[in-house]
Amino acid sequence: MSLTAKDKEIVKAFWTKLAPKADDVGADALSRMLAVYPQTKTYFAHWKDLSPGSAPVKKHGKTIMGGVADAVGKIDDLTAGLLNLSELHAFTLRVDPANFKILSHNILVVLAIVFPNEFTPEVHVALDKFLGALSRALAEKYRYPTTRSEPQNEQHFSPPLSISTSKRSSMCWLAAVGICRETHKGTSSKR
Amino acid sequence: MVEWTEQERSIITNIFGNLDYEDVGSKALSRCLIVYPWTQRYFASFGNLYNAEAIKTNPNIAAHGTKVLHGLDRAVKNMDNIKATYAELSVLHSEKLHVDPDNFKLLADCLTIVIAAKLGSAFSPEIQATFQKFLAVVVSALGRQYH
Repeated sequence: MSLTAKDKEIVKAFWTKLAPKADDVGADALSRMLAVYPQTKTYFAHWKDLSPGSAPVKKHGKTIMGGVADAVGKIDDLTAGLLNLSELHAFTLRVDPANFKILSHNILVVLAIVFPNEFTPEVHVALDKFLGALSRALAEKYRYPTTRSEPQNEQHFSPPLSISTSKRSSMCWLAAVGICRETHKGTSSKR
Repeated sequence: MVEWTEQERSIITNIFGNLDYEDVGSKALSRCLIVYPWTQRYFASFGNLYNAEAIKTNPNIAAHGTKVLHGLDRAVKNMDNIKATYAELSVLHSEKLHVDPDNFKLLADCLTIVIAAKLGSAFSPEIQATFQKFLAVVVSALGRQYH
Protein backbone atom coordinates (compact mmCIF):
# COMPACT_ATOMS: atom_id res chain seq x y z
CA MET A 1 0.00 0.00 0.00
CA SER A 2 2.40 2.67 -1.18
CA LEU A 3 1.60 6.36 -1.30
CA THR A 4 0.12 7.67 -4.54
CA ALA A 5 0.81 11.19 -5.80
CA LYS A 6 -2.67 12.13 -4.59
CA ASP A 7 -1.97 10.77 -1.09
CA LYS A 8 1.21 12.85 -0.86
CA GLU A 9 -0.65 15.95 -2.04
CA ILE A 10 -3.34 15.47 0.62
CA VAL A 11 -0.76 14.85 3.37
CA LYS A 12 1.29 17.93 2.46
CA ALA A 13 -1.82 20.14 2.21
CA PHE A 14 -3.16 18.93 5.55
CA TRP A 15 0.26 19.40 7.13
CA THR A 16 0.18 23.14 6.41
CA LYS A 17 -2.98 23.33 8.56
CA LEU A 18 -1.52 21.02 11.20
CA ALA A 19 1.98 22.55 11.50
CA PRO A 20 1.04 25.51 13.75
CA LYS A 21 -0.66 23.12 16.19
CA ALA A 22 1.81 20.27 15.85
CA ASP A 23 3.27 20.54 19.36
CA ASP A 24 -0.18 20.39 21.00
CA VAL A 25 -1.26 17.53 18.76
CA GLY A 26 1.90 15.60 19.67
CA ALA A 27 1.45 16.16 23.40
CA ASP A 28 -2.22 15.16 23.29
CA ALA A 29 -1.56 12.05 21.16
CA LEU A 30 1.20 10.90 23.50
CA SER A 31 -0.99 11.57 26.58
CA ARG A 32 -3.76 9.49 25.07
CA MET A 33 -1.43 6.67 24.13
CA LEU A 34 -0.12 6.42 27.70
CA ALA A 35 -3.65 6.59 29.15
CA VAL A 36 -5.44 4.28 26.73
CA TYR A 37 -2.62 1.75 26.19
CA PRO A 38 -0.89 1.53 29.57
CA GLN A 39 1.62 -1.03 28.28
CA THR A 40 3.31 1.83 26.41
CA LYS A 41 4.28 3.41 29.73
CA THR A 42 7.01 0.78 30.04
CA TYR A 43 9.15 2.83 27.66
CA PHE A 44 9.01 5.89 29.89
CA ALA A 45 9.72 4.49 33.34
CA HIS A 46 12.49 7.08 33.63
CA TRP A 47 10.01 10.01 33.55
CA LYS A 48 8.82 11.49 36.82
CA ASP A 49 5.35 12.29 35.58
CA LEU A 50 3.40 10.28 32.99
CA SER A 51 0.06 12.04 33.45
CA PRO A 52 -1.67 13.68 30.46
CA GLY A 53 -0.15 17.07 29.68
CA SER A 54 2.84 16.74 32.02
CA ALA A 55 6.12 18.44 31.19
CA PRO A 56 8.00 15.36 29.92
CA VAL A 57 4.94 14.32 27.87
CA LYS A 58 4.67 17.77 26.26
CA LYS A 59 8.36 17.88 25.48
CA HIS A 60 8.37 14.43 23.96
CA GLY A 61 5.19 15.07 21.97
CA LYS A 62 7.02 18.00 20.38
CA THR A 63 10.01 15.79 19.55
CA ILE A 64 7.80 13.20 17.92
CA MET A 65 5.96 15.74 15.78
CA GLY A 66 9.32 17.14 14.74
CA GLY A 67 10.04 13.69 13.36
CA VAL A 68 6.68 13.60 11.59
CA ALA A 69 7.35 17.03 10.07
CA ASP A 70 10.69 15.74 8.83
CA ALA A 71 8.94 12.75 7.30
CA VAL A 72 6.46 15.00 5.46
CA GLY A 73 9.44 16.74 3.89
CA LYS A 74 10.95 13.40 2.88
CA ILE A 75 7.68 11.84 1.78
CA ASP A 76 9.10 10.84 -1.59
CA ASP A 77 11.62 8.45 -0.02
CA LEU A 78 10.78 7.76 3.59
CA THR A 79 13.08 4.74 3.92
CA ALA A 80 16.19 6.68 2.92
CA GLY A 81 15.08 9.88 4.64
CA LEU A 82 14.42 8.23 8.01
CA LEU A 83 17.46 5.92 8.10
CA ASN A 84 19.03 7.58 11.13
CA LEU A 85 15.77 7.62 13.05
CA SER A 86 15.29 3.96 12.21
CA GLU A 87 18.72 3.11 13.58
CA LEU A 88 17.91 5.06 16.73
CA HIS A 89 14.65 3.18 17.28
CA ALA A 90 16.15 -0.19 16.34
CA PHE A 91 19.37 -0.17 18.31
CA THR A 92 19.06 2.38 21.07
CA LEU A 93 15.39 2.81 21.89
CA ARG A 94 14.33 -0.70 20.85
CA VAL A 95 10.66 0.18 20.72
CA ASP A 96 8.51 -2.75 19.63
CA PRO A 97 7.22 -1.67 16.19
CA ALA A 98 3.67 -2.67 17.16
CA ASN A 99 3.64 0.54 19.17
CA PHE A 100 4.03 2.69 16.05
CA LYS A 101 0.54 1.65 15.06
CA ILE A 102 -0.78 2.51 18.50
CA LEU A 103 0.73 6.00 18.44
CA SER A 104 -0.50 6.53 14.86
CA HIS A 105 -4.05 5.70 15.95
CA ASN A 106 -3.88 8.25 18.74
CA ILE A 107 -2.50 10.91 16.40
CA LEU A 108 -5.52 10.31 14.15
CA VAL A 109 -7.93 10.58 17.10
CA VAL A 110 -6.43 13.96 18.05
CA LEU A 111 -6.66 15.16 14.46
CA ALA A 112 -10.37 14.26 14.47
CA ILE A 113 -10.80 16.34 17.63
CA VAL A 114 -8.78 19.36 16.47
CA PHE A 115 -9.98 19.33 12.85
CA PRO A 116 -13.51 17.85 12.98
CA ASN A 117 -14.46 19.25 9.56
CA GLU A 118 -11.16 18.99 7.69
CA PHE A 119 -10.34 15.45 8.84
CA THR A 120 -12.63 13.89 6.24
CA PRO A 121 -12.54 10.17 5.34
CA GLU A 122 -10.40 11.05 2.30
CA VAL A 123 -7.86 12.89 4.45
CA HIS A 124 -8.05 10.12 7.05
CA VAL A 125 -7.11 7.38 4.59
CA ALA A 126 -4.19 9.38 3.15
CA LEU A 127 -2.84 10.16 6.61
CA ASP A 128 -3.33 6.58 7.79
CA LYS A 129 -1.33 5.37 4.79
CA PHE A 130 1.35 7.99 5.44
CA LEU A 131 1.72 7.08 9.11
CA GLY A 132 1.84 3.41 8.09
CA ALA A 133 4.61 4.14 5.59
CA LEU A 134 6.42 6.23 8.22
CA SER A 135 6.18 3.33 10.69
CA ARG A 136 7.54 0.90 8.13
CA ALA A 137 10.47 3.19 7.39
CA LEU A 138 11.12 3.46 11.12
CA ALA A 139 11.17 -0.34 11.45
CA GLU A 140 13.52 -0.72 8.46
CA LYS A 141 16.66 -1.36 10.49
CA TYR A 142 15.12 -3.62 13.09
CA ARG A 143 16.15 -6.98 11.70
CA TYR A 144 19.25 -6.92 9.61
CA PRO A 145 19.51 -10.13 7.58
CA THR A 146 22.67 -12.18 8.12
CA THR A 147 23.19 -13.32 4.57
CA ARG A 148 21.97 -11.46 1.58
CA SER A 149 23.26 -10.22 -1.73
CA GLU A 150 24.16 -6.58 -1.94
CA PRO A 151 21.66 -4.36 -3.66
CA GLN A 152 23.65 -1.94 -5.81
CA ASN A 153 23.05 1.29 -4.00
CA GLU A 154 23.11 0.09 -0.44
CA GLN A 155 25.88 1.06 1.93
CA HIS A 156 27.50 -1.29 4.39
CA PHE A 157 26.19 -0.60 7.83
CA SER A 158 29.04 1.06 9.59
CA PRO A 159 28.46 3.12 12.70
CA PRO A 160 29.86 6.65 12.83
CA LEU A 161 32.80 7.14 15.16
CA SER A 162 30.84 9.55 17.32
CA ILE A 163 28.42 6.84 18.36
CA SER A 164 28.20 6.13 22.09
CA THR A 165 29.94 3.09 23.59
CA SER A 166 26.76 1.46 24.76
CA LYS A 167 25.34 1.54 21.27
CA ARG A 168 28.56 0.10 19.85
CA SER A 169 28.59 -2.74 22.32
CA SER A 170 24.96 -3.56 21.66
CA MET A 171 25.71 -3.65 17.96
CA CYS A 172 28.70 -5.94 18.53
CA TRP A 173 26.43 -8.29 20.40
CA LEU A 174 23.95 -8.21 17.58
CA ALA A 175 26.74 -9.04 15.13
CA ALA A 176 27.95 -11.86 17.34
CA VAL A 177 24.55 -13.51 17.33
CA GLY A 178 24.32 -13.07 13.60
CA ILE A 179 21.46 -10.62 13.69
CA CYS A 180 23.37 -7.67 12.41
CA ARG A 181 26.16 -7.59 9.92
CA GLU A 182 28.63 -4.83 10.46
CA THR A 183 31.91 -3.74 9.10
CA HIS A 184 33.41 -1.45 11.73
CA LYS A 185 36.80 -2.38 12.97
CA GLY A 186 38.80 -2.12 16.10
CA THR A 187 36.18 -1.92 18.83
CA SER A 188 36.56 -4.31 21.67
CA SER A 189 33.74 -6.78 21.45
CA LYS A 190 34.32 -8.57 24.70
CA ARG A 191 31.23 -8.62 26.92
CA MET B 1 -15.46 -11.51 33.49
CA VAL B 2 -14.96 -7.86 32.60
CA GLU B 3 -15.00 -5.46 35.54
CA TRP B 4 -16.54 -2.02 35.15
CA THR B 5 -16.25 0.82 37.64
CA GLU B 6 -19.25 3.07 38.30
CA GLN B 7 -17.44 5.83 36.46
CA GLU B 8 -16.88 3.66 33.38
CA ARG B 9 -20.53 2.62 33.32
CA SER B 10 -21.72 6.20 33.46
CA ILE B 11 -19.25 7.29 30.76
CA ILE B 12 -20.61 4.65 28.38
CA THR B 13 -24.29 5.32 29.15
CA ASN B 14 -23.69 9.07 28.73
CA ILE B 15 -22.02 8.70 25.35
CA PHE B 16 -24.79 6.48 24.01
CA GLY B 17 -27.53 8.49 25.73
CA ASN B 18 -26.55 11.60 23.79
CA LEU B 19 -25.87 9.92 20.47
CA ASP B 20 -27.45 10.73 17.12
CA TYR B 21 -27.49 7.13 15.90
CA GLU B 22 -28.23 7.96 12.28
CA ASP B 23 -25.51 10.57 12.01
CA VAL B 24 -22.78 8.68 13.86
CA GLY B 25 -23.69 5.23 12.52
CA SER B 26 -23.65 6.25 8.88
CA LYS B 27 -20.47 8.30 9.31
CA ALA B 28 -18.63 5.47 11.07
CA LEU B 29 -19.54 2.80 8.52
CA SER B 30 -18.86 4.99 5.48
CA ARG B 31 -15.52 6.07 6.97
CA CYS B 32 -14.62 2.41 7.49
CA LEU B 33 -15.41 1.58 3.85
CA ILE B 34 -13.32 4.53 2.63
CA VAL B 35 -10.32 4.19 4.95
CA TYR B 36 -10.20 0.39 4.75
CA PRO B 37 -11.54 -0.30 1.25
CA TRP B 38 -11.24 -4.07 1.54
CA THR B 39 -14.17 -3.97 3.96
CA GLN B 40 -16.37 -3.18 0.94
CA ARG B 41 -16.27 -6.89 0.13
CA TYR B 42 -19.19 -7.43 2.51
CA PHE B 43 -21.39 -4.85 0.83
CA ALA B 44 -21.36 -5.91 -2.80
CA SER B 45 -25.16 -5.83 -2.95
CA PHE B 46 -25.44 -2.32 -1.50
CA GLY B 47 -25.17 -0.44 -4.78
CA ASN B 48 -22.67 2.23 -5.80
CA LEU B 49 -19.52 2.15 -3.65
CA TYR B 50 -17.32 3.31 -6.47
CA ASN B 51 -15.76 6.32 -4.75
CA ALA B 52 -15.81 8.19 -1.45
CA GLU B 53 -18.68 10.49 -2.49
CA ALA B 54 -20.81 7.55 -3.57
CA ILE B 55 -20.15 5.75 -0.29
CA LYS B 56 -20.94 8.82 1.80
CA THR B 57 -24.29 9.35 0.05
CA ASN B 58 -25.31 5.70 -0.28
CA PRO B 59 -28.62 5.26 1.58
CA ASN B 60 -28.09 1.52 2.13
CA ILE B 61 -24.80 2.18 3.88
CA ALA B 62 -26.38 4.92 5.99
CA ALA B 63 -29.22 2.62 7.05
CA HIS B 64 -26.82 -0.20 7.85
CA GLY B 65 -24.56 2.05 9.89
CA THR B 66 -27.55 3.08 11.99
CA LYS B 67 -28.51 -0.59 12.44
CA VAL B 68 -24.99 -1.53 13.59
CA LEU B 69 -24.93 1.31 16.12
CA HIS B 70 -28.30 0.29 17.55
CA GLY B 71 -26.80 -3.19 17.87
CA LEU B 72 -24.33 -1.70 20.34
CA ASP B 73 -27.27 -0.70 22.57
CA ARG B 74 -27.58 -4.28 23.68
CA ALA B 75 -24.04 -4.22 25.00
CA VAL B 76 -24.66 -0.90 26.77
CA LYS B 77 -27.69 -2.41 28.51
CA ASN B 78 -25.87 -5.63 29.43
CA MET B 79 -22.37 -4.47 30.23
CA ASP B 80 -21.82 -7.27 32.71
CA ASN B 81 -22.55 -9.97 30.21
CA ILE B 82 -21.59 -8.78 26.76
CA LYS B 83 -20.17 -12.15 25.77
CA ALA B 84 -23.48 -13.97 26.27
CA THR B 85 -25.50 -11.06 24.87
CA TYR B 86 -23.61 -11.25 21.56
CA ALA B 87 -23.31 -15.04 21.25
CA GLU B 88 -26.02 -15.24 18.61
CA LEU B 89 -24.75 -12.20 16.72
CA SER B 90 -21.28 -13.73 16.73
CA VAL B 91 -22.61 -16.94 15.18
CA LEU B 92 -24.47 -14.83 12.59
CA HIS B 93 -21.33 -12.91 11.61
CA SER B 94 -19.34 -16.12 11.37
CA GLU B 95 -21.72 -18.64 9.82
CA LYS B 96 -23.97 -16.49 7.71
CA LEU B 97 -22.16 -13.25 6.97
CA HIS B 98 -18.64 -14.72 6.91
CA VAL B 99 -17.05 -11.55 8.19
CA ASP B 100 -13.33 -11.71 9.05
CA PRO B 101 -13.31 -10.74 12.75
CA ASP B 102 -10.32 -8.43 12.17
CA ASN B 103 -12.82 -6.10 10.54
CA PHE B 104 -14.64 -5.49 13.82
CA LYS B 105 -11.59 -3.66 15.12
CA LEU B 106 -11.40 -1.51 11.99
CA LEU B 107 -15.01 -0.38 12.40
CA ALA B 108 -14.42 0.19 16.12
CA ASP B 109 -11.46 2.48 15.31
CA CYS B 110 -13.55 4.48 12.84
CA LEU B 111 -16.35 4.79 15.41
CA THR B 112 -13.82 6.10 17.95
CA ILE B 113 -12.68 8.74 15.47
CA VAL B 114 -16.23 9.83 14.60
CA ILE B 115 -17.14 10.14 18.29
CA ALA B 116 -13.90 12.07 18.91
CA ALA B 117 -14.78 14.52 16.13
CA LYS B 118 -18.26 14.94 17.59
CA LEU B 119 -17.30 15.41 21.24
CA GLY B 120 -14.12 17.41 20.61
CA SER B 121 -11.98 18.08 23.66
CA ALA B 122 -14.74 16.64 25.86
CA PHE B 123 -13.46 13.29 24.57
CA SER B 124 -10.70 13.25 27.17
CA PRO B 125 -7.99 10.58 27.38
CA GLU B 126 -9.89 8.93 30.28
CA ILE B 127 -13.14 8.86 28.29
CA GLN B 128 -11.27 7.56 25.24
CA ALA B 129 -9.77 4.76 27.37
CA THR B 130 -13.22 3.73 28.65
CA PHE B 131 -14.82 3.91 25.22
CA GLN B 132 -12.05 1.84 23.64
CA LYS B 133 -12.26 -0.69 26.50
CA PHE B 134 -16.00 -1.04 25.84
CA LEU B 135 -15.45 -1.48 22.09
CA ALA B 136 -12.67 -4.02 22.71
CA VAL B 137 -15.04 -6.13 24.81
CA VAL B 138 -17.70 -5.91 22.07
CA VAL B 139 -15.17 -6.85 19.39
CA SER B 140 -13.97 -9.80 21.44
CA ALA B 141 -17.53 -11.03 22.07
CA LEU B 142 -18.41 -10.79 18.38
CA GLY B 143 -15.41 -12.93 17.49
CA ARG B 144 -15.99 -15.41 20.28
CA GLN B 145 -18.17 -17.97 18.47
CA TYR B 146 -15.99 -18.28 15.39
CA HIS B 147 -14.51 -21.71 14.86
